[in-house]
Amino acid sequence: MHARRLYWICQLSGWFSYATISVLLTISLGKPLNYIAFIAIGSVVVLGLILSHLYRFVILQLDWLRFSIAQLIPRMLLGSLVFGAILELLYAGVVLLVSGVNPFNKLILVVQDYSSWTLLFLLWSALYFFYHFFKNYKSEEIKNLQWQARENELNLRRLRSQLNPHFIFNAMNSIRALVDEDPAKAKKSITQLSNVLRSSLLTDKKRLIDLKEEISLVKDYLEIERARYEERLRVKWAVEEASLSGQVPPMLLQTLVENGIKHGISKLPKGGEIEISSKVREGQLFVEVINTGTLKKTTSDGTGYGLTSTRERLDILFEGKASFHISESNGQVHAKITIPKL
Amino acid sequence: MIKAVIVDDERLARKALQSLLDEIPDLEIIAEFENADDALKELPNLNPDLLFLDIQMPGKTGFDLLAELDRIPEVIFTTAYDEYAIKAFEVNALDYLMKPIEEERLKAAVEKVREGIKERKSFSPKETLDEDDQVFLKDGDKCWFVHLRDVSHFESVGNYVRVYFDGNKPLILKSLNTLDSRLSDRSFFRANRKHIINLKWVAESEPWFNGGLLVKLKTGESIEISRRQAVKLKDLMSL
Repeated sequence: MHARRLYWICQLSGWFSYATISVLLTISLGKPLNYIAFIAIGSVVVLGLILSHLYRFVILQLDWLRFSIAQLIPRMLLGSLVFGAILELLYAGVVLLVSGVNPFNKLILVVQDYSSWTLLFLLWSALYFFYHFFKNYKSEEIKNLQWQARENELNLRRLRSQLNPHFIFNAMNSIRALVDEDPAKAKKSITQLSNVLRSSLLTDKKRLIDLKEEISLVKDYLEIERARYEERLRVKWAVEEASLSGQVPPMLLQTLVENGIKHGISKLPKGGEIEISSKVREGQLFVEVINTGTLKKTTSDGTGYGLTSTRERLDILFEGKASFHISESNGQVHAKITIPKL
Repeated sequence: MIKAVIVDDERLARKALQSLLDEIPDLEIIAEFENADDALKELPNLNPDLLFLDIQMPGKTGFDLLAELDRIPEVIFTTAYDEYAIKAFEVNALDYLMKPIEEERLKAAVEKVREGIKERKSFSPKETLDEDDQVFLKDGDKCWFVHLRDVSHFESVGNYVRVYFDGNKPLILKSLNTLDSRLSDRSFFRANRKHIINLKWVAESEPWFNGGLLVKLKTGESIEISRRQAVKLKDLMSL
């Protein structure tokens, strides 16, 4: 509906402009602006309007919009020559009726008129096709962008870290033993496990959350792991107040902490320490997880996945403005994340 | 009475299992270990009937522990959700329990090994491994429980020994000499520097160079026997 209205606006205003220019030209060339001139110009406008509309009908019937520009040019030339000829014949008829003079007596004038009509139709079809190419190009671009956005969304969903089932079942097992040994602690652990499960289910809903929320999830997570590993897991926090309002992808810190325990502390008979720190410096949010252990280069046991997916998530969410580094020194693994503070 | 041992790095996991095992009247937990190394030191002296074994432990895994044990009791693996371990179990049809352990499943698993334990008890304890003993073999991600009667022969490959059974031939980190001293002479015979053969698997033999023998196994392999060993073999076979 909208396209059709736009077409008619363009048609009418285009031919009205043609009429205006013709009148102005007649005046500037010093020709008489009598009723014959008005009829001549008016008939061209009316015939042009009808014929160009017919031309459009032909274009749509033959589906010329599917052609490339190179294929269109010869067709445009042919179409303009044909419709120019029809216009010239009808125009000549009008002239003959009004003035009683057969224009074909002066062949040079016929040729002159014919070429200008042809040019007119060429201009008309050029505008017509230009508009359509432009429209297609734009809608292609929009489609592309939409597609890219959807792909990003899908990627994010794929990369979103989920809770490790190993953790859940081990937690359940520890809690079962606690029910007999320390019922109060068992109750607390169940609440903490519920919190962790709830947060992990909510990650699908949000792209970013406050670091404060993420830290409270990690605190619950670590409490459960401490029930399991007991004195083998030691936890240290160094969180600066200003960093709590920073925005992070959900489960990001949890993934790093889980990796630190899974690949570091759980592998050590004597256990180890995990330290989580966060701070804001120069508009950047720094989050770091340090754990006892060594960094293995192997990716077969799933290490690689957690880390590459963390990196990919950050890349998609922050368009390359966030960074993630992992390194080993003095029997400790450092995982560092830098995110622009929003 | 079934004498059982628990190996698990988590105290609460051991406790959870313990409280379930308390329900089984003729089962006694004689020891608990929190890592494979401690268990390895004590198990030969304890000589338990049944081992409850966690897979993922700091240091050596449950599989590593079994691979280093000479004589293996009946084993029930315990693990939480662990894709890799479960894959290993399914490939080799090993019995395992998932944590948190279900009481009924545990009782069924104990019933299943009861027969094996009875059989084992009817033998007098011995120094060497006989054909009825089972060993645990681990090669990369794969692992097997194998009765020695199913092993046709052993072959020395550098520092490793290749074990031939049921069409499999995993490598284990042991020397052929150590193995030779552990295996019973009644069933196993040192054919030459590189091979130990299971006498039950010999199909035929023919004279070979220098007064040696060429033995053909039921699996199709031919193994040369040196002259000195050939004399011993003839003695053994003629009995």
